[in-house]
Amino acid sequence: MTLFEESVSDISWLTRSSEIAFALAEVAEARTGSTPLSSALGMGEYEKSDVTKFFLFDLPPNASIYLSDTGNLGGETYDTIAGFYGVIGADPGTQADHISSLFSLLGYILLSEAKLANSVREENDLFRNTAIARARAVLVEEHLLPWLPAYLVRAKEVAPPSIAPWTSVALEFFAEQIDNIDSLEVLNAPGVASVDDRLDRDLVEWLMTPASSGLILSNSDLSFIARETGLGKRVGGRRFILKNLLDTDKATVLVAIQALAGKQSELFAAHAKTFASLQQWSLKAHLTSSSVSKLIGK
Amino acid sequence: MSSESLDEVSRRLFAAKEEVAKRGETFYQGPSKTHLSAHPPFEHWNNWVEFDSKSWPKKVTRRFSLIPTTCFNCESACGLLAYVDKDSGSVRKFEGNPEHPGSRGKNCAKGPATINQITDPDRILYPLKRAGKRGEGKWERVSWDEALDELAGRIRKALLEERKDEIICHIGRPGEDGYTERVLASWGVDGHNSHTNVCSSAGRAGWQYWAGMDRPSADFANADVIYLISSHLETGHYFNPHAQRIADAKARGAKLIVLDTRLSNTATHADYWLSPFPGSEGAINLAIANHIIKSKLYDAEFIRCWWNWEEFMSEERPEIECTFSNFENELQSLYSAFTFDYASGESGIDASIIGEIAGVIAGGKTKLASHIWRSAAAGNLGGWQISRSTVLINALLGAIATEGGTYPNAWNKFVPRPIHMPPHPNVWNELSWPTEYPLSMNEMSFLLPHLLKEGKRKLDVYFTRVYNPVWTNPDGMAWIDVLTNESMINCVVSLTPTWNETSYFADFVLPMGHASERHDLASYEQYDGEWVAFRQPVLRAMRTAAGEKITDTRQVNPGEVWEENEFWIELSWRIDPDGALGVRQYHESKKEPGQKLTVDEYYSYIFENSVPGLPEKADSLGETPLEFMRKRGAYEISAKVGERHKEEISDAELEGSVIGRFGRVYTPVPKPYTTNIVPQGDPDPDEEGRRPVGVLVDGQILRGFPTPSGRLEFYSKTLSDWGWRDQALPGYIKSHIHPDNLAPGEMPLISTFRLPVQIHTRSANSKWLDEIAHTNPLWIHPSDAASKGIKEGELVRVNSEIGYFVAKAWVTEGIRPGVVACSHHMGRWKLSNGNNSPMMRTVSLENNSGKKRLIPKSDPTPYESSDPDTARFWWNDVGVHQNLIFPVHPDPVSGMHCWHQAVKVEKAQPSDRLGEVFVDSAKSEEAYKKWQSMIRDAYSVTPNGSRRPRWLMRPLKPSHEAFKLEPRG
Repeated sequence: MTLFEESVSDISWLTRSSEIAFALAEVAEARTGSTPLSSALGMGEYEKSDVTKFFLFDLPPNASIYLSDTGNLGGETYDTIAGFYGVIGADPGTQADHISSLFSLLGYILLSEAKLANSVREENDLFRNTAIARARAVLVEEHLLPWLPAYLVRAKEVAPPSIAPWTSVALEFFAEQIDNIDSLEVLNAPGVASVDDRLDRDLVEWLMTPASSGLILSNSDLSFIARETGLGKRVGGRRFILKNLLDTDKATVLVAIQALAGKQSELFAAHAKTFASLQQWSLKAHLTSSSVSKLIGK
Repeated sequence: MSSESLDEVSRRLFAAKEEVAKRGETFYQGPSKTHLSAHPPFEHWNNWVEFDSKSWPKKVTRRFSLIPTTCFNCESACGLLAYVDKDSGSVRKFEGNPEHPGSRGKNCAKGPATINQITDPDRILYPLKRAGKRGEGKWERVSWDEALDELAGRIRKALLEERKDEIICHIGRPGEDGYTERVLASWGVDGHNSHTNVCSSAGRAGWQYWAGMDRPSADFANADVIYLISSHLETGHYFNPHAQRIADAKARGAKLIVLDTRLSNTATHADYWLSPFPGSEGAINLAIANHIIKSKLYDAEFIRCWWNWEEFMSEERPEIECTFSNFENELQSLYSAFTFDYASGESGIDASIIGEIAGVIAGGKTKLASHIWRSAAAGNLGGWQISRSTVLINALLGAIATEGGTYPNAWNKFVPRPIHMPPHPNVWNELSWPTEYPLSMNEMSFLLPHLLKEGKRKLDVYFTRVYNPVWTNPDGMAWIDVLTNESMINCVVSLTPTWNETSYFADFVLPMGHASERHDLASYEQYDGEWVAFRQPVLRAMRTAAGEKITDTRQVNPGEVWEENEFWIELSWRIDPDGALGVRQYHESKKEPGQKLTVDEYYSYIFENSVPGLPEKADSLGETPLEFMRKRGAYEISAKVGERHKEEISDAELEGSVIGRFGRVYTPVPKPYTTNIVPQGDPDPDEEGRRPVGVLVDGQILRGFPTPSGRLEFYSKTLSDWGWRDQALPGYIKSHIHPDNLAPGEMPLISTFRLPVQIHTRSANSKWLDEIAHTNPLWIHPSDAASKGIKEGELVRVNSEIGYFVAKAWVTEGIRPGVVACSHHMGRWKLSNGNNSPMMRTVSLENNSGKKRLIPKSDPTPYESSDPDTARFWWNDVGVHQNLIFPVHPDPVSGMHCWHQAVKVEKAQPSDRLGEVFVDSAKSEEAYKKWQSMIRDAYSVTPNGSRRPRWLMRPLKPSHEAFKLEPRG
C-alpha cells in the first residue's frame, strides 16, 4: 500500500487533515487544469494556464521569498527548510520551500502520525509518536506560520474566482492546524525599527522584500497600480516592473503604494487574531506606509 | 468556513479519490509526492497537449500520444515515453516513464538522445549486400526476401551437413534475456557468443563462486555505507537507476566510498575517494576484511549459518576438529598478512586512510551496499578475485540480501518463461568454449580471430548483433584479418541500427530498430524488487490502439528497418520451411498450430502466463495484460524480496529427501514449475540423481544458495577441484600491470572508463551526445607530463607491447601519478566518405607484412543533410581508437580479457597525426601465446571428464552429453 492508498474506513482527524494537505499541495503544483480533486475543494473550472499564471507569476508560493532578507528564492531560509526535511528523513527534492512541497510534507507527517497512533504498543512507539507530533509543530510554527497566513490572505484577495476557494480552504485548514499543535512558544521577532533610511536608499529592494516591508506585491497589484495611475507597465519580473513604474512617475506610484501598504496593514491586522504572526506583518506594512508617505513629501 | 466545512471538503476528497481510483486513474498526479514533478499523469498520456517549443513565442499547441518503451542504449533498460505527434504520426521526443519502477521517470542523457538515433540522416534504412570485396565499401540494396533466403539456405545446409559449430551469433547490447539463445537452441547449435568476456566476466565470477548468482544487486537507497569499486554513480553501467538511489542514500546521510584511480564524476561525489594503484583494490579489500576479522566485527551467526566453513575445514584443515570456533581461529590467520601497511604498500594509499574507511565499512554492518562490475575486475589479471574479495566484506558483515545490503541479482530480476523453450543443444562449440578455459564465465569471444587463424575450424555464417568487435574488442586488426578472409568466415552478417567498423567488412548489413522500433522484455537488478519492462515499436502500439491492424513492424518503422524478433522468426521458418528439421515448431503459433508465431501472441502468452499478478492487475482495469504493458511499459512484480536463502521449503518438495554432506539436502521431487527462468547456478544432483533443494541450518531446511554446498562458498571446491586450489579462497592476485611486472619506463594505462553520455559505439549517431563528449585525450599527471616534457594539448605516442596510438595529452591531477588513462567510446573511424557520421574520422588501413597502420585521412566536417544540425558541427577532434593496440589478455580462470595495459608514453614524432594507430600483428600473436602459457586446460584439470563444471552458469547451456570432454586431438 502506498502513502496515498490509506484505508478510508476510519477517517480520523489526522487522516482527514492529511488528505486535505495533499489536496492543497496537488493544486499548488499547478500541473493540471481542474480535476475531480479541485472540485472536491470547491474550486470552479479552470485551465492549467490559470493556475500556472497564479502560482508561478502572480504570487509565487515559496517560503524563501517571504522570509529572506532579500525577497529572493533560495538562500539561508531555503536551506533551513530543506534541512528540516532531512532531519525528519524526508526527501527535500528541489523545491523544498514551495507551498506544494510543504503541504505534502505536512500531509506526510499527519499520515505517519495517524498510522503510529493506531498502532501504539511499545514505549518506543510512544516516544516516536511524540517526536512526530513535535515535528508537525515545528513545521507549522517555525516554517509555515511566519509567512503562510500573510501569503494566503493576500492570495485570497488576488486569486481569480476559480482559484479563490483553494485559498479559503487553505486558510481554514491552516488555522485548524495551529489550534492542534503543542506550541513551541517561538519568540516573536523584535519590533520593527524605523525603515526610513534604508527605504530611501534601496526603494525597490525594500518594497519587494516582504520580510522587510511587510508588503506583498503581486503582479496583479502592479497591474492595478499601472492602470490606476495611467502609466505603462513593462513586461518582466515584478522588480523590473516596479522599478520602471517608479522611474516613470515616482511620486504618483508612491502614493499608490502607500495606499496599498496601508490596506495590507489593515488586512493583516484583521486576521491577526487567528494568526498571531500577522501582527508583525501588519506593523511592518504600516511602517512601510508611513515611510513611503515621508518619501512622497520629499 | 468552519471545521464542519473542512469535514465536508475531506468527505468530498475521499469520495472523489475513490471514484478516480475506480477508473484506474491517478488522483494525486504528482509521483514525487513531496516535491514538484514534471511527469504527465498516466490518464493524460493518450491526449497530452504541449506548446510547440520551436514555434515560440507563438503559442502553437501540439497534441501527443505518450507511448512507453524502454531505452536501448545501455543495459539498464530505463523507461522512456515517446511523444508521438498526433497530427504527423511521428515521434517528437523522448522523456522518462514515471511508471517504470527501476528508472522512476528519470533518464540520463542517452535516453532522450534516442530521438537523434531514429532521425539520424545517415542511418541504415534498407538491407544491403556487399557488391565489391569485403571492406571495399560497395553495397547494393537488396530485399529482405533476398537476404533471408540466402542466409536461410546457408544455415539449413550447415545444419543438414552437421556443421553446427560453423554458425555463431555474436551478441552486443542485450535485447531480451535469452531470446537469441532460444533461437540458436531451436536450430540445435551452440552458437551464442556474448561480448561478456570483454565486459563483466571477472566481476561476475566473484559473485558466481560465492553465491551461484553472478551479479551484485546493491540496495543503495537503504544503505548506510556504499562501497564502490569503480564509478557506478555517474559513469557506470547502471548509471541512472543506481545513481538516483545512491543520491537518495547520500541525502539521508549514507557514506559513499569510491575506489577509482581516476577522479571520476562518482569520485567527486564521494565522502572518501581513494585513488589506488590499479590492481591493488583486492589488497585493500583484504585489509578491510582482515580488520573486520581481527576486531571481531563480523557477524558470526551469519557466517556460522551461511558460509560453507565446514567444507573448508574438512577439505583444507582435516587435521583440526571441525567446529565453528576452530574455523574462527583459522579465519584470524588466513588474512593476517593483509595489514593496512601491506595494502598501503600495494595501493600507494596512506595506511591510516585505509584504516579509516575500514572502520566506516565495518560500521555499515548489514547496511553495506557494495558494487563492483568492470573497472578493477575487468582491468587486471585475477580481477575476478577483486570481485570475490569485495563480496567477502559483505559476507563477513552479513550484509547479503539485507535491507541496505547487497543482494544476488537473480533475486531482484524476473525473466518470464516464454511460449517455447527449445531443448539445450547437443553440441559444444569449441570456438566459443575452448578447452583451454574450462572455467571461463562466458564465451571466449575475443579470441575468435586467434582461434580461426589456428586453422582448425572455420565459420560459415557469423552474425554480429548490435555488436562491433573490430572497434570494441582488443586487437581489432586481428578481427579485420579474419573478417576479410573468406576462407575463415564464409558469410558475415551485421545486424545493426548504425554503421560501425565491423559492418564495413560484412556481406550483409541488415537494419535493426532502435528503442522505439523493436520489441523486447527486460528486467534488471536495480533495487530490492522484481519488475519487467517492455520495449515496443511505439508507432505500432499507437496505430494498433487506434484500430489499425499491424502485422509486421516494418509497416511502421522507417525505411525497411525491422525488429529482431520478427526477423529471427522469419529466418527460422525459412531454414525449416516444412518443419522437418524440428526448428519451425519453436516459432509456431500455439493458438493456430502450423501458423507463424506473431509478436503479439508471443508477448500475450508471456504476460498472461508468466508474469505473476499482471493478469489480475490488467483485468481489474478492464484491459488485457498485453494492453496493460503497451500502455504503461512496465510492471513491478514484487518489492522487498528479502532473504530468499531463508525461505522454508514445503513438505511436498521435501518428500523422500536426504541430507548429504555439510547439510546439503537433496530431493527426488522434481523442481516445481516456475515462471521466472532467471539464470543462476545449477548444482549437480547427488549420486542417486536427487536434486539439491535446500540446506540444513540449525535443524531447519532452508532454500539456501544455488551453489554446490547450498551456502555462500567462502571456500570454492569447484576452483580447487579444477586446478586452482591456490585460489579457492577469496584472495589477491598481483595484476599483470603490478609494479613488479612493469619494465622500466612502463606505466599502467586505464582504458575501460566510460563517459556518462556515451555507450560504446551504439551512441555514435546521437548528435546531442557527441556534442557533449566526442574525444578521448590521454589523462596524465602533471608530474609525469613534466618528466616527459609533455604539455597540455600536445600529441603523445602511447606504446603498448604490440603498437602505438597517437592522442592528445590532458595534463590533470585527476589521475594518480605513474598511471595514465584514456576513455572508451571514442576514435570512431570509417573507410570512406560514403556516410557522414560526425563522430567518425575517415581513415585508410595499410598492411605491410603484418605491420598495420590506421592512417587518418580527413577529420569529420559539418555537412548538409535533412537534419540542419549536421551543418552546425563545430568539433573535429574525435579522439583515437585505442583498443587496436591492445593484445588479447585472457585471464586463465575467468576468461575475462584483462584490459589494463603496460605502456610507455612519449612525445609524438613530428610526422605523427592525431588518431594514428600502428600494430605489429606478429607481436600480437606473441602476446596471445604468452597469456596462453598461464592456462590450466580442461584435459589436465578436469576431475570428472567434463569440459567444465556443469553447475556454473553458461549461456545456452548444452545437454549433459555435450559436456563430456572428447579425446584430445
